[in-house]
Amino acid sequence: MKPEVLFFDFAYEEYLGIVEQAVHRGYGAIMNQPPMREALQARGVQSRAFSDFATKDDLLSASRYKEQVAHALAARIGEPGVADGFDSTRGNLLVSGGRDLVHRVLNMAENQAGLVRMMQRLLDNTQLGAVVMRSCLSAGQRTIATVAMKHGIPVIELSHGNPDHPDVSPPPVPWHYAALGARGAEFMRMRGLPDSRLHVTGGPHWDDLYLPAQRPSRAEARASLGLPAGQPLVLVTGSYATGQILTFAGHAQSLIRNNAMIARALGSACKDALLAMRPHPGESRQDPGRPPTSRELSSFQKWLAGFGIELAHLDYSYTTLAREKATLFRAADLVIVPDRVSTITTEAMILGVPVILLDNPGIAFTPFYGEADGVCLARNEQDLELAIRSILRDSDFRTSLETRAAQALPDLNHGDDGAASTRVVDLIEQLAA
Amino acid sequence: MQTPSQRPETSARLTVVMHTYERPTFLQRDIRAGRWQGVPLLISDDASSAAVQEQLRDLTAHPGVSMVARPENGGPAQAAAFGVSRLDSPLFALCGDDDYLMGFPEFAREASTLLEDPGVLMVAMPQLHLVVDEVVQGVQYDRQSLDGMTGQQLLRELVFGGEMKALQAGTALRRHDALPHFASSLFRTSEDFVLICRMCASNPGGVIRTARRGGYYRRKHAASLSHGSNMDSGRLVVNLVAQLVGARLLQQVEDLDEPTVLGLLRQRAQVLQTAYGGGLEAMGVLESLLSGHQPDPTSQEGREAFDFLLTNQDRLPLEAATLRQRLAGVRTSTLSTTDAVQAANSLLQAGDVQGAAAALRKTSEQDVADPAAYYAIQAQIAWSCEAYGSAVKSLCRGLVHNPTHAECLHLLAQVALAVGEEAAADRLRNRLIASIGPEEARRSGLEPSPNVDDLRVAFIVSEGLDQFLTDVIRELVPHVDARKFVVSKPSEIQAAADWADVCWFEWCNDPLVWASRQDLLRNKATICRLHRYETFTEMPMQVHWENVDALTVVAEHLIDLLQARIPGLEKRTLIRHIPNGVDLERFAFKEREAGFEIALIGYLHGRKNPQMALEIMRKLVDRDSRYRLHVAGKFQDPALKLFWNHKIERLGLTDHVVMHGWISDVAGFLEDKQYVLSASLHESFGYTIAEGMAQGIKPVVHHFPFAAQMWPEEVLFDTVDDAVSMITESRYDSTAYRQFVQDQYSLDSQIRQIRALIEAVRPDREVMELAMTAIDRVSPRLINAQVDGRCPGCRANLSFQQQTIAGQPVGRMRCNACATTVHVPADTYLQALSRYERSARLSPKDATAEIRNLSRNWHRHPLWEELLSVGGVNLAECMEWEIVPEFTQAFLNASEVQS
Repeated sequence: MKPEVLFFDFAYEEYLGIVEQAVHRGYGAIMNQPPMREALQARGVQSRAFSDFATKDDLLSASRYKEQVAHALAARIGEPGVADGFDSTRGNLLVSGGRDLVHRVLNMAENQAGLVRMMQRLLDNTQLGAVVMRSCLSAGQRTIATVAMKHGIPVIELSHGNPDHPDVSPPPVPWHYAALGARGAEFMRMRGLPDSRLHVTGGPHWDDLYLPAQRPSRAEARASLGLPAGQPLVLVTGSYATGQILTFAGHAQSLIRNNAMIARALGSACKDALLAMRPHPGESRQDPGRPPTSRELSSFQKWLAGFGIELAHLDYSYTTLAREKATLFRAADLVIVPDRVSTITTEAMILGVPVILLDNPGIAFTPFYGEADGVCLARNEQDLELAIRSILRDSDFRTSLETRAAQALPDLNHGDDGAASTRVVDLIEQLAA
Repeated sequence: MQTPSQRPETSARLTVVMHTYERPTFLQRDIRAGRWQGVPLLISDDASSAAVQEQLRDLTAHPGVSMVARPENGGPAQAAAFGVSRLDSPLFALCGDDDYLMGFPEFAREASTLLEDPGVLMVAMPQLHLVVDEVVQGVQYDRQSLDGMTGQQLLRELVFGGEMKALQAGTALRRHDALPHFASSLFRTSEDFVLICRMCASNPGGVIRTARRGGYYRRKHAASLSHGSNMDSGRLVVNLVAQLVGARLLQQVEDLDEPTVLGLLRQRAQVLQTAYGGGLEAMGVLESLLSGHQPDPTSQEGREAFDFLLTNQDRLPLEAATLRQRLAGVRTSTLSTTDAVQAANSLLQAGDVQGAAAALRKTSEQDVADPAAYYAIQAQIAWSCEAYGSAVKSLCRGLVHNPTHAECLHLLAQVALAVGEEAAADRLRNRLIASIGPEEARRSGLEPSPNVDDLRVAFIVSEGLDQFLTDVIRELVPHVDARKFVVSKPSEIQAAADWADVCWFEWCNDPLVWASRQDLLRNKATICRLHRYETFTEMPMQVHWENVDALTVVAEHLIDLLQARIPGLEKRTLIRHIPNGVDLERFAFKEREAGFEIALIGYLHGRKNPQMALEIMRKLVDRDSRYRLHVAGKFQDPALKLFWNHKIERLGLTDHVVMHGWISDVAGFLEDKQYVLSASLHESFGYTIAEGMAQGIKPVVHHFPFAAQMWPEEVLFDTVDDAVSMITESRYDSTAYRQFVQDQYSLDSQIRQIRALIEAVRPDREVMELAMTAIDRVSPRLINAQVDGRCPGCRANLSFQQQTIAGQPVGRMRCNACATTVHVPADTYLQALSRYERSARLSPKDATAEIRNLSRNWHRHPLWEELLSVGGVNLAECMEWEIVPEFTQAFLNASEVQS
């Protein structure tokens, strides 16, 4: 009998193909996301809940643990030398973080303490063969990984974005990493991850983009969105790829400047072009984000109209599902991506849509994509206007982009075949054995 | 009033009560003749002239004679009741002011003894003698045959025989038995019949006894109330209604079918026709109504009888509920009422203001097809009398019904000019021109006034929920073009919003939920008034509050409840508490005293806690059987109705709870009540409590959550016993109750606040930019940024999250202090972000690298290893500080300190 696999934080349907295939190969699945368990159940795939391994006592003891830590911290922090240990070149971070930081530490510790107990109970009561995670960023995820590895259980992180450059990123933690493509793997290798832990699988969440059903024709896509078929449609995507507030200001400034630059360039390059926008899903999904009100939307439309641009479509969907983005991408004549890092570029390339990247030096991170990938780089308004005009009017130019993109894609999404989920399950099978 | 010690001892337990009105002569004569010697007599004057009252007061110099006086005329029954209610003695006998008694001390002794037996209902004097021109003609009625009869038997005899042998006169009754049964002021005749019938029905097993001694002497003269010369159509109808009361009471204890009831009425009508030459035509009207048909009287008597009933329908007794119901169903579109409006108009044109007023009184706003026309005439009548205030009120009422009614607009503009309100006159004239069209306006010499500020306010309300709007719109009409839009589908909301500058959503319910999610409110100011029930539904959470400029609630505690359910609501819309207002003119004040009539008003459902009301009643009745609970309302829950009826029977309250059904005239209903009871579990306000207080009625209010924020502590009760004590105690202060409502809940104050709110959110209100100098701090979140600064309008602190679309700052926020709309221009937002970024004194790239290094050192601190180790795992090592916003903030805070 094959062991069980913990699929932790699989919060999106596009990853369920992995679980489904693993179960079909005889592995038991344990999951911590109830909606996804239900979605699997609807497909006839059974799984166990991670919460089945929790007891009421775990929660109570975690809560008591938090109180104990709080009391101990209050008592110890006044002792000579203890507080000094938090000094840095910037000053004492515990002092400057204040109550908010301490609360965050205590809350994280409470959550982690509960997870440690649950994970230990899971290990005691199952034959766990592997842990697969969509991300290993949060304290909870890292705690699960740490406990598993202490017990010799392999942990696999599925890459969900393009990795940072070694200049700005520390060496990765020592679990297995399933890279999207050879280029992503190379970035990780440069950051110090040994080859024994580095695997190239492709992006399982992109598998659906290769299905014919997800690749409507331009006319079909326009019709399904209620957009006119005759006018050019330019899609602009948003990005807050870094996920941390330190770089927020730079990103936000960059986005605001980009918006004006795009509006001006589009107005000059193509008078009758329609604009579609797909802000980062976080703008509507994450707290304190929310969809815009009709007044806010109208003020934005008015602002764009000042540049002579008609905002024909605004996609504020909450989803990151590739297949739900596909129709919008396929309806567009080109996609403008505000940075050179976001994996949305690979998605557009898979769907066969030309891409213009805004090469904004204000953004901190090292570029991942270049002109060799069949994308246009625009450093300023003139570049952008030229790129738009070339893509919309010059079919030879478009063909050259498509050719280069086709050559680059296997490097960006391993195999370029929609079979990444299968390769991830192969990896699980290999490591769990 | 004389104290008991001054009264003759032998008959101290029984007092004669004599009601009188402008007729002192007979009594003066009889006292002088010594006929009242040794008889304790209380004169109850029914608001006679000062001169007559003076004469009566002189009579109180005689031993045993005392006097009380009603402040206003209420008819013989009410005058008698007034006197009886002020008695100290437990027993009384009534006597007309033109009659006298003989052998009273003996009668009093015997009656007192007999009435010690609780099974005895009343004790009658044995004979009633007729006196004409001061000569005794002989025995008119011998009552000895009544001796031993039960209440039910007597009731049947009265109803079927029609002859009551003037039984009210000279009959000893218990004070507390009789007080609840006196007829209302409608009964200026047959009031005695009503009293005796009710007493018999209230105790059908009780025994009537006839004393052996004593005689009642009844004068017959031209000034007798029952004399044929005093009979008119109204009196004839009242006589028939009294017969109907008797029949209905008999139906409570015996099987009596409707044909029999009608037969009895016809029989009485025939008697009246024979005795007074009228009655059959009035009976025709009554019969039509009782049979469910529209009366179509052709004779003068019939028309007058019908008019009398229409005018007095609210004063009809409870036993005539069917009649009241049928009269309420007589609509205005009938020929007679339409004629009344036309007749009033014709009379007005002819200069007969009094005639017009009289004609208009024959109908009401509810009865006419065009209420605005009705009010236009009413206003002209008021204006003729220089009652400008009344004229304005009438015209505004008309405009509530029809905001484009040309005559109302024209007249209101004229009144506004007359009182010097020129801006209002301009507004109204412009509305008039819009109503009649430019062509007609030119022909009439009307020219539009330029630069007139006339805001269009649409009051959007779901069907059947507009009960709180009429007063508000009426008061706003001169100031803004306020119109009511009753909506049941989105297209109707759309139409209202298309017309309006300001959309006022009455209730936070479906129309607002829908509208807030559409684009139709884009350029409108939007206000929602939340009452109560919505707070406990999902609807407030479904509203897109960013599209709603202001939320007003009628009770302050609702703000807390809402904020608990929707955290941050105060940042999404302006919240204002505007208490409800009571139109004090509609609820006339009267000084009142403690009594026994308790009102309970409103829809009946579980939240009203009716069980508690019944428990209170049970305890009250245990103390005094005169207490009665009058319920005006209807059940919204059939199960509750079943429970209610069951409980009333179980608690023995059948005779103490009176169901009146739904009452539209609350003021009229409350007129004869002394208490307004509210046992509710929760109320946002409790309009009927305030309306009762405005009339000087004592409120008795259950201490529901937050009740103390709205009502004085001394009117709140926690337990049934508390409520009973509050009702039975002597403390009663009508003036204070009225004053409280005047101070806290006046309509004027409510309207002032509503106008201020509308003014604050009106769409042309200036939008002010938040300059860099007014921004104190920008704190990025993952997606957008928190902006802290100061309002450019009032310098109050502002704190909000800047909403973005694709990173672009959009939207506005409103200052909660001064309602100024503030927006952050994109370039200011950029500058503010740059300032924030500079605080790290590093490029984002370098800062990222530094913070990652700090993070690694941070979790290696030995304290973490000591405190944060669980199951052999160092939790701090698992914390990825780079993505913890609080850690980054600590880094930036430290950087700011350094810089």
